[in-house]
Amino acid sequence: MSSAGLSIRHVGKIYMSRQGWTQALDDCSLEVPGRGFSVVVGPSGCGKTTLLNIVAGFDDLTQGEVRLDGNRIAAPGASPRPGPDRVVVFQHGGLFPWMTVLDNVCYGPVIQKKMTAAHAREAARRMLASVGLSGIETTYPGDLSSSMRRRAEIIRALIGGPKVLLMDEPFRALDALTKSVLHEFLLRLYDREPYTIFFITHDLMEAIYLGDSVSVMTTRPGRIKQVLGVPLPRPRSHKMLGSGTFLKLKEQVTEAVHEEAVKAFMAGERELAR
Amino acid sequence: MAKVADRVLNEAEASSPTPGPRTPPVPVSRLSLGLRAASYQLISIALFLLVWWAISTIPWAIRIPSPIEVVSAAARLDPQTFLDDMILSTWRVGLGFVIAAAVGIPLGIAIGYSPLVRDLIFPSVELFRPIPPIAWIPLAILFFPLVEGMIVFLTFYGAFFPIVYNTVAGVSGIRATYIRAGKSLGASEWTLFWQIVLPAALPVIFTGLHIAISVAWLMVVAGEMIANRGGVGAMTWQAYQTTQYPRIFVGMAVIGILGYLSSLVVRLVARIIVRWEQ
Repeated sequence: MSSAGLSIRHVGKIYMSRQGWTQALDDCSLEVPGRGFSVVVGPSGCGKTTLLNIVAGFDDLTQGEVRLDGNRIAAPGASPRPGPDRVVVFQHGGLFPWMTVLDNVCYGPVIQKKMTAAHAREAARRMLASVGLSGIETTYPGDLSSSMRRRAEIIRALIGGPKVLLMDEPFRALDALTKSVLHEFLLRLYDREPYTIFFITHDLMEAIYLGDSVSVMTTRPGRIKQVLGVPLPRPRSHKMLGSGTFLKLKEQVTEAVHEEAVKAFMAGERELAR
Repeated sequence: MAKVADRVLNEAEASSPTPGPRTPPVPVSRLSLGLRAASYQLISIALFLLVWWAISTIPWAIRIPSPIEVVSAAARLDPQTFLDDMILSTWRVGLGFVIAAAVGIPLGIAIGYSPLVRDLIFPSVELFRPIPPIAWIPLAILFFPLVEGMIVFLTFYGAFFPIVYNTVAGVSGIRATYIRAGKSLGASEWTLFWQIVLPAALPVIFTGLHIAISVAWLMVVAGEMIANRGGVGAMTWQAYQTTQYPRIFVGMAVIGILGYLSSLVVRLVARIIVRWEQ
């Protein structure tokens, strides 16, 4: 039972609202093996972020359970509880603008009292330097480029050694060049030390390029429709983006997601027509 | 493997913008830009003075004193009384403002942070909001036997609402992401409040303080004109009662300058505390 990794088992989520109820997730199951890089793709509004929020402990679930390294972290009726064992990297950036980069990176270990402030600073400096981010320690996030902000946020998430890194469309709304720099960054970090990563996106290229597996989610109610293994070797390089394996996978994933997007679109049309 | 990864990481860094001390590339051009802006601003003020002077010379226009008359009226004032009036008004504004901040910020935080407190307190706060602070003057005179109490109450009251409302807006408008990031990194409720909620709300709280200080000046002038017991408002009013036109202008100018200086102080404090928003 105590297997390493993240295990999402038959998770269901029903939202209650004044208009009635909405089934956001239904019988959604997914395994992220320890030190594995799993990516979930799906049309917008399919419940990807809901799923991530449940894992993160920002939202509760109504069915099923979530286990992390064998321990149950979410179940129906239990109040959701976020924690440093599963740190989130956010869609629009979650660095605290009122803290310097160094204070941001130190924040987790210091408030968890895992390290003294001096120790944490030292560790943060070393970690930033190891990824080529030295020289920005005393800078406020507002004075950094979006690429550096994202990198610093990833380091902040990793410094405490979480059991799983949750990435909620972290490179959304970035230009293509910045995105590719960040892809390289994340891939090289992962090559150096494989973390358990649960990554959500609607960018299919990104999904295949980064992940060990790409899981396609159905339109609402969200469920995992298909899991495609990515047989590209690591370390990955952008040259693989033109390879036959990549293109074939891209076609498969596109097909699967497209079907769901059309369904979502039709459902939207029906709702409007009513 | 690790070696390769390190190398590529460094390469990725080399191709992206390198961090470092950010000095303006050509400081001279920045300076000359500043000088140009300053000279335009001086021209603006000079033009204003010119128009003012021109109007004062038109015989059939409204009788207003020329800038020179105003300056000489200021010079003829008893410097000690003049200074005392300025200090008294500033003290009244400062006291009312500080009390308003001391009460308003904690109250605003409580209302913005806790839905329970919001439902319990906010509706009654809302009842008072549509009443302009000046409408409180008669009641304030009746409530406070001492003039000082009445004036400080009025400045407090004027400053109170902008502070409370902006604090509420600042606290309740925090991006949910910051709260989630804090929780995700392991912050307890207590640290979440002091280290995430409060700093995230500070820029908006300072917006409130900035508005509040100017409303406090508005109220002190109104209160002093009614009470007629010292202060720049009373000084201006007495000038009116004795039909000393140039002195009215001196009073107005002094009120404007003191108001500007105190809002400058608030801005400077904001700059020191809200360092990250420059």
